[in-house]
Amino acid sequence: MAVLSDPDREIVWADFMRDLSRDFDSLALSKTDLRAALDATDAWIDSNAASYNSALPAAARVAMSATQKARLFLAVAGKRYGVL
Amino acid sequence: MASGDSLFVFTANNNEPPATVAATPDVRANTGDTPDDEVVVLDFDAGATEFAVFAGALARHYDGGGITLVVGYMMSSGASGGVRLDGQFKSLGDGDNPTSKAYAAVQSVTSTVPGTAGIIEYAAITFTNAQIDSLAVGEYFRLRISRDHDHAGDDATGDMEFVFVEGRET
Repeated sequence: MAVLSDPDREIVWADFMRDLSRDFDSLALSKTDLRAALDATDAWIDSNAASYNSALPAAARVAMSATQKARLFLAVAGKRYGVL
Repeated sequence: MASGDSLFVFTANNNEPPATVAATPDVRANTGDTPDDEVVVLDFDAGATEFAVFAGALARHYDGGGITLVVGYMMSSGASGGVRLDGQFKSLGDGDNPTSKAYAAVQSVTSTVPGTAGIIEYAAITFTNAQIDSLAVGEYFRLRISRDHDHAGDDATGDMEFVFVEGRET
């Protein structure tokens, strides 16, 4: 899977800022710099998706769809950093 | 009357939202008060240009010197950068058609946001008499406020929360 399209990155960027605003989560970062961080995150995911897949035990690697693996990643990362 | 005299004041509750891309009503609560004191605000998105509209009649003590809008706002989350605020007037005098008359040209200010989210900042936009659509005393007018989200100076993240606007004689 390639990196997100520019329109999709823009959607994520706008939604992320709305989420911050809803939670009154202060951020001293410009929109431009936030977008750069988002783009870097997407690029990192794209570069390391295969590595993450290889790290999964064979049973999960075979049985889980790509979407399910992404949901698993979100669940663990969210719990680790207090987002979920 | 004199420069600095107040001509009108509108709060978030006075908004007459446009049909689309309207700023979103919200509240900011002070949980230290009992009961919680809830400031009604209008959230202007960081990723899309949104609008609020206010209506009134110009005070008869206006002396023709132009109007300075003072907008009170705070940021939901952003604590660096700026917001680009736009203001436009539309006068509707005797004989004007409210369903066809357009707003006068936008006047703007780029305001640096406070270093702490949730702190109120006042930003001023100045208009000459011509720029207020030549609004005359006693005339009905509509004032449109917006955040130009994709202006180069609008780089603060998150919602801008509009609290109030005062129009003063310049």
